[in-house]
Amino acid sequence: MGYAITLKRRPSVQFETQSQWRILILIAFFAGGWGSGLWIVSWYYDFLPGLIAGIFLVAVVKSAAHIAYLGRPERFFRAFANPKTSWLSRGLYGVTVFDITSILYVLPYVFQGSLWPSHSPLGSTLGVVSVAAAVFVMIYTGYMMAYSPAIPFWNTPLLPIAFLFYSFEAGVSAAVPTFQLYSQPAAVVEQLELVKMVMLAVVILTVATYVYGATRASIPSKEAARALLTGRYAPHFYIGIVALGLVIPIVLSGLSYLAGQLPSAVLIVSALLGISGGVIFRWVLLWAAVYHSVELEI
Amino acid sequence: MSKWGMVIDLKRCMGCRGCQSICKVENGTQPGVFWGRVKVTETGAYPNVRKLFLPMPCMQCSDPPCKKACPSGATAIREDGIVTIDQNVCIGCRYCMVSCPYGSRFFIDEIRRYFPGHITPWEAYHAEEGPNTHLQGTVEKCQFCKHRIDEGLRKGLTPGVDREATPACVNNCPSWARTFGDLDDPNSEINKLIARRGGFQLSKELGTDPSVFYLPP
Repeated sequence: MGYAITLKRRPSVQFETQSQWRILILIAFFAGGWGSGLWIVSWYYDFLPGLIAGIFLVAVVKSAAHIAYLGRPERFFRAFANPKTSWLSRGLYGVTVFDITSILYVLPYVFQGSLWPSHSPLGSTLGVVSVAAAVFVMIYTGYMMAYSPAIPFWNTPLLPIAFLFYSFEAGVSAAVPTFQLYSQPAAVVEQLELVKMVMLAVVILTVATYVYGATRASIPSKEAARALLTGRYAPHFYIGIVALGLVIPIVLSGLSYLAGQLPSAVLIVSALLGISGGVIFRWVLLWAAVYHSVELEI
Repeated sequence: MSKWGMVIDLKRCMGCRGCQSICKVENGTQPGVFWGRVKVTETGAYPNVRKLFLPMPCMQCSDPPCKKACPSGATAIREDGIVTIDQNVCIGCRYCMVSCPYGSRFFIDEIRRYFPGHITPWEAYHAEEGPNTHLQGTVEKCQFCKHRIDEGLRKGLTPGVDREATPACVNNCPSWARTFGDLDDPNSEINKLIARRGGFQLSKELGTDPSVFYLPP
């Protein structure tokens, strides 16, 4: 798939759009980030439903989506073979460590009285290791994409950072209404609202910097940024990412923090908007990306 | 040890796509898969604009991003510089495809026939005893007709000199736009061409160090 544009002083350049990584990769990447972010928040506040949801998103949804995407799913275990250079391989190790440590960490909560106490040295170690693995799961897909020299729009160190912040923000966004629904202390919910506001502000800065950097980079990168800002994906960007995904949630978070907790329904909508903003961000990254064009060199 | 490379003269290439066709014949690729594709582009600034044909086999990079990206080790680089894919190891993650700056790789999502419902003798040959394995769910690409090179070397022939040991696209070019040889031999024809005509690599700034050089149009 591709299209041609006319540049100044050049007759035309044919761009090839990225078409291999699509919906299943989107689900895998987002579910992994979201689940990891939710895990970290839930671990900090010792919130079991969040812990279980985090495990489900990473161990089940992310893994299922990525394995289903493979051309030869029955060979998925071969992806362990090259952690030395492959970010996909490294990611698989990270996800595996997360899956094992997080499940072992949660077991004492589910099977009360058996196994090791959750706040024992073993339990605490499992918790810390699972959090470290969760941080890795949040960020490694950004490194996977940023590694690609073929897609200049992705080839920036800001991408893993954007993924890290967006994933954590998604986790916090999901935690806010969930904590309220499970009657967690109001002070905790208020604290989470503050964290959510801060994360949304950080994400706004990161996304703005990322897109600005893309407009100042190579021609294929500029072309992808153009698609985002004034082209085919402008509605996705301005409405989906900026307005619905960032501005409205940060306003609602601010109101909730400053004026007192908003009704659960509003918090749920705010969470869904924030989370969907993260989905749409990854969506446009995958769909708007164009390959490096060798024709520019001739 | 030899390091196989190719030189493509953009002044001679007339866009006949003989290389593209013979690659299909030799390697048995299915519809939609073009290991040796020819891009059509334009060069120059108005009023001095002309059409340019850019044959693009796999660049057989010395520092291939695809190999680093491959999680399963299916992509490997031989001692002679040819980058290969083992279809029996490839998991079809397509990470190599988003890493390749030259678009040299193709994913086989399903096995397609040129005449649906019917398999031609040529397709049957390639499916059963051909030099390449085309496996659904895996990625494949140009491998410099390594089966011809290996067989030719076994017979004591010289790739790039003896046609039987030379990639099919090089043999088939009617305008002799392609030259094949040993990049490690300073006296080889391709090294002389690169030196004499100012051969260049595509996207050198990416650090991939392709083994395919182009002579200016």
